[in-house]
Parts: sequence; structure tokens; C-alpha cells
Amino acid sequence: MPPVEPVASPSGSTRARPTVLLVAALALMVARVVTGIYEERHPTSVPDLVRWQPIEGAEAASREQKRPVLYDFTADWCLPCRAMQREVFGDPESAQEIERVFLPVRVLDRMREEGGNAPEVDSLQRRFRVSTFPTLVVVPHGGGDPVVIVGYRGKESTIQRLRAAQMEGLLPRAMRPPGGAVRGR
Amino acid sequence: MSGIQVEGLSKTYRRGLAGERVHALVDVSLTIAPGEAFGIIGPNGAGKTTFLGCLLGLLRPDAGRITIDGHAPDDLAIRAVTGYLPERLVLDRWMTGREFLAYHHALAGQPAAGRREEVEGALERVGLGGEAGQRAIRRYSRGMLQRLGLAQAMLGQPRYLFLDEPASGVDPAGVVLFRRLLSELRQKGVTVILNSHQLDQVERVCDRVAFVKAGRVEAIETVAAGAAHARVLRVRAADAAIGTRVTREQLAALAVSAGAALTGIDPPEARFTVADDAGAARLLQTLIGAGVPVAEATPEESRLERLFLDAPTDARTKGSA
Amino acid sequence: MNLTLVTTLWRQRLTSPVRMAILAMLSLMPLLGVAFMPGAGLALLGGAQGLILTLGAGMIGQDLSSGVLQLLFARRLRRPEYVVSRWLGVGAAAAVISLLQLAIACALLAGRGAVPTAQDILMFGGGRVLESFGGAAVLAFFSSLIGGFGDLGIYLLVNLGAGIVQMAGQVKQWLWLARAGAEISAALTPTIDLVRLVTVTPMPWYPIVSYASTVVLCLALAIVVVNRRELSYASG
Repeated sequence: MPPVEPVASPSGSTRARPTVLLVAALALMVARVVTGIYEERHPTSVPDLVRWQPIEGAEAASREQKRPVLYDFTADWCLPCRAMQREVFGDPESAQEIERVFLPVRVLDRMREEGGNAPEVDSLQRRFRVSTFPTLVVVPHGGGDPVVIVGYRGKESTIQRLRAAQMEGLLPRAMRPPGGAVRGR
Repeated sequence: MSGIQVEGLSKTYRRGLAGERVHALVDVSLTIAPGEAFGIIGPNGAGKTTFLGCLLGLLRPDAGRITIDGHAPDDLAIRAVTGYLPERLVLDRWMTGREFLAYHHALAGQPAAGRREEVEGALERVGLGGEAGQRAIRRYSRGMLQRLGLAQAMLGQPRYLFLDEPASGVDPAGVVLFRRLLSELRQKGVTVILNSHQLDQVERVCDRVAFVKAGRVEAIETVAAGAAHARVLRVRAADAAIGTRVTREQLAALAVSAGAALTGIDPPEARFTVADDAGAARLLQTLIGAGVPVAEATPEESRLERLFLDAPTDARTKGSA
Repeated sequence: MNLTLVTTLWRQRLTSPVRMAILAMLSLMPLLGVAFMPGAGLALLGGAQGLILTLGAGMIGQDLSSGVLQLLFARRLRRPEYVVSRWLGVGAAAAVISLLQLAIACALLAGRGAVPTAQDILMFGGGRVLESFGGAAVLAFFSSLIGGFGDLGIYLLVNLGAGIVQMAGQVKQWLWLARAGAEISAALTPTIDLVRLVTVTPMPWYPIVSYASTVVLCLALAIVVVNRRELSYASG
């Protein structure tokens, strides 16, 4: 005889299926996928407290103001770049320090979105052989080897490396460590 | 209360990942009337514990239907009036006896007011009053565990009490206590379902007994519960006196005068039914006083024991009772 | 939600010397760091995973394999109630210990003159509470699948697997794979980054939705699994 489910009494089964929860789980999963895709396509704006200078004339201005240029090679689709933007450039203290010490210039890669880049972006990328994002490049104002910082390893690490790069830029040529303090050229 | 109805219950296990199928229960059908004391006996591996598991909603039958008071066994309404003492009793070892009963008292939905008194009362009833209730369960002996298990099963005034080997590991004093508690419960109209290997206990306590073997109910015997423990006495006389010097009529008359009854002659033996031990003694006295050279008197196996030893005959009643 | 079950879980954890010792170690060691390491902040207190695993290991599985559930489920107790109570018990315990830890850390930091801001405290505390209930839900699901302390094993395996998947995705430059691995790894201890939630405009919904999705799914699955469990130990 096939199993027959007796009519459930008002007090209900001790093993009642959690229909509400299951429906909610399904709905939330759908919502998760939808919002995930949506927010991927529409990245939320992250407060960025650094006032980025235009690429044109940046190096001239840097020699004039005796401040090294800080190139931020980044792209919109790059998640670690966004993390760095939020945690380093979005933080009031570090943003202030960066603005004081460097001449910040943002170099935004648009290859994926538009298929190509503006010539100055292209030439900068080729000059410093930028292949991954984010890449920070410090160009000392007194002429000298640029210091290249590849990848984002957290706020503390980035700030330390920027400081080291800045110090290195201030040293006279003879005293500079060979190859740069951090992944130099 | 409308009792328990079981129709066509079947349950199959698969042993291990790719093992053989074990037919634990095959097409079991029976009815247990409310207020009845129903025993379940059978050899090991017969499916008795599986049967109890299905009755309690702990296992899902593969086929068939169980209703208790018209509800499914895993219905909340039934859980509220059920008490269960499992065979392999596992209690929360870190609690004390008192804490454990208070815990189950709360789980049974009993009000917190009066909890302490009811827990104390329950402990006293099973002989665990006083210091024993304070001890952590991990330090309980086997007999104490069973007593606590029974106390837990009786919490909340259940209408259906399922006992799986309740007296296992219990000392004789405990066994007597259990029997007394069960008869008290029966007087209150509680339906008791008892699974036990101890046939004399089952015979004493139960109204009807189901004999389960290899997943099937082979027989359901009606046992005269509560009555004095009647039995069959086999008397052998010396010199083959029975059937020769002492006639059948003489034996019958002597039996009646001793308050017993002759059920048959099988020379050199005669079989008598006696009401109890006193009756057996009276019968033997009467026989000896009348000159019957009684050499040996032994009780025959109880009816229930015979179920285990005999192959099923056509005298058995199969299926529902 | 059955309060008796919740309080019983707490009492049981309290009577386990191993759990209490590990808990003490997990809670006190970061506090020592906060007390003595210069420049240390609330971040040193880390996450709630350790607490959740210590409090929650075997939360359903142990009851399953020990045979205690036989008696429990013969009572007037809905099985979903049991699962939810175990979840709440573990989650609440982890949350309370987290908040206590936070309070002590703040006191220690105040003693050094480096009191964290109200926003920091709120963000950290809120994050830990969310993590406590989130991680407890995931562990409840794992615990319903396997007896004893197998849930710890499942947790470790999934963690390992997710890490491997993520690495493979990064090596092969298959972003979706890396993303999948990262998602699974994060889902093991669901939480909401409250800092990001409040600092980013417009407020992102994905963190909230994915947290709720993981928690609800794990609880629903745990209930379904426990509902279907057959409780038997003998074959006759």
C-alpha cells in the first residue's frame, strides 16, 4: 500500500516543511544575483578625497613645485583599484598626505569600455610598462628613476611604500639603492 | 482517545552504502485499543524497535499508515501526550537528574509553576529521591539511568507510553517498582506499549502480546493480565503409576479437590493447570496424600516461550487481532 | 524558538572545559595585543570565526550521533524549532562574547588614551554581531549533514576548496572562477561590511542581500535535512 499522508491536525506536524523560509531563500538568491550583476555594472561612487591633476603638464608642474608626480594607473573594472581608492585615497589623513607630498595624476585605462585609450594614457602606460592594475608610479621631480609599485596589498603597506618611494626620490643619486626601494626599474 | 491503528506498515533499510536491503517490517497491521497494555516480543532483529520508531514518528514508513487518536504519529498533538523510554537510553550526561527532569518537564510544555514539586515527585516515584537527583547523570549506574528514563517518560501525564526494554539493567527491586508504576498507570487508563525480552514481565503486565519475527507479526496472544500467574505443571509419577494404578478419573478428581484442573495424561506424566504457586503446592500435597508416587513436578514453558521455540503452526492467528 | 533549548545549549557549552579553554584563549589573546602593542586598534580583535566554531562545533551533529535526539524529538517539539534554537543559541553566545571583548578592548584603549570613535565601536560591534549569527547559520547547516564534530571538517574542506578555486581562477585569469571562489569563501562566515555600507553612495544593496540570502538558505536547508532525518539505532 503506498504511503498515505494523514490529514494534518490543527496543531501541525513536528516535521512541517519550512515553506516560508524556502521561498524566502529562493527570492533572496535571485535578488542576490540581480543586485550583484547590477552593482557590478554600476559601480558605486567611492568618495575620493585626492584632487587629481591632469596628465598634461604634470611633470612640468612637478619640477616647478618640487614635488614628485604620483601616477595612479587604474581601471574602473579593477576591484583592488577600487579598494585602494576607498581605503587610501578616500581616507582623509592619507589623502591629505598624498596631496602634500606628491602631485597626484590619475591615468584611467579605458581599453575594455572603449576599445582604446587616449594617446597620453597609452604613452604613459608604455613608458612605465604598466601591465596590471593598480600600479602606482612615483616620478621624482629632480629627475631620476621612477619607483613602481604594483598591486594593492592593503592600506598600511601602500602608504609605507609610497613613503619609501618619496624618500628615495629625495636622496642624491649616488645614495639611492640600486634598482629602487620597491619594484623599481 | 481512539487508540493506535497500524495498517500495512512496511519499512526497509539498506545496510551501509551498497549493502543488502533489510526488510525490517513487512506489512504489519494491528490495532491497539486505548487503555490497553500491549506487549511486543520477538527474537533479536525482528523489527520491534523499528516498529516503535515508526509509532513514535522517529522513522518514516516506506508503506502503510499509522494513526494515533486519528493523527499522524509525528503530529504535535500526539507528541504532547506521548512518553517514550528508548532501548538505548542516552541522556544529557552533563546534567544532574533533577536538571534533566526539569528540562524535559519544560520541553513537554508543562508550566513552570509547580515544576520543582513535580520533578521531585517524579524522582521519588522511581526511587531516585534525595541525593541521587543531585548527582550528574554521567555518574549514574545503569539501573539509575533506566529509572530516570522512566521518570522522564512519565512526565506530563502521557496518554500513550512507549517502553522499549524498560527493565534492562534494573535490579529486581527496580523491576518490582516498575511493575507497580505500570499498573498504576494502567489504572489511570494510560495505553502502554511494552517491548521486552522478559516474558514473565510481559505476561504479568500486558493484556495482549504481539510476537514479531523477521518483520512480521506472527501471532497476537491474549494474555490474562493481572491475574495470578497460572501455569501448567507436569507431574511424573514413579513406577509408571499414571495411567495404570492411578486412573485419569482419579487424577481429575484429585486435581479438582485441590483447586486445579487436569488437562491431559501423557504416561508417565500428567499435566495439570494450577492457578499459582500456592495452588501448585496444594495439588502436589493432595496427590502425595492420596498415594500418588510423585517423583517430579516441573512447570511447562509458558505460552509465550513456546512462541519462540515452535515453528509457526496453523493454530497461530496471523495479522490483525 | 524554544528558550529552554537555547539556555540548555549555553549551559552545556559552559560545562565543557575544552570549549571554555579555547574560548578564553581566543578572546583574551587579542586583548593582550590591544593592551600592550603600540598602535593596536580594534582591528586586532579580528573576526568571530573562532568563537563561532568553538561554540558551535557539533551543534546539531553531536546530538544526532549521541542519540539524545531520540528523546528530544519524542517530545512536543517541532524540529524546525530545534534547528532555529541551536542557531540562536550559538549566534547569541558568540555575539555576547564579541561585545564583551569589544567593551574590554575599548577600556584598554581608553587607558592608553586611544579611545576608538563611536562610529568605529558601532561598526565593529555591529559587524561582529552580524558575523556571529551569520556564521552560526552556516555551521548549523553543516552540522545537520553529519554527526559528531563533522561540521568542523566540512567547514575546513569548503574553505580549502574555495581557496583553491579562487587561486585557480586568478592563475588562469578566469575572473568568474576567482569570483566564485571568493564568494564561497566569504559565504562561510557571512557578514556585512558596515563601513562600506555607510561610506559609499548610493548605499549598496548587494552586501545586505547576500548576507540575508546565505543565512536564510542555510537555515532552510538545515531544517529540511533535520526534518528528513530518521532516528534509529537498531535494526530490530
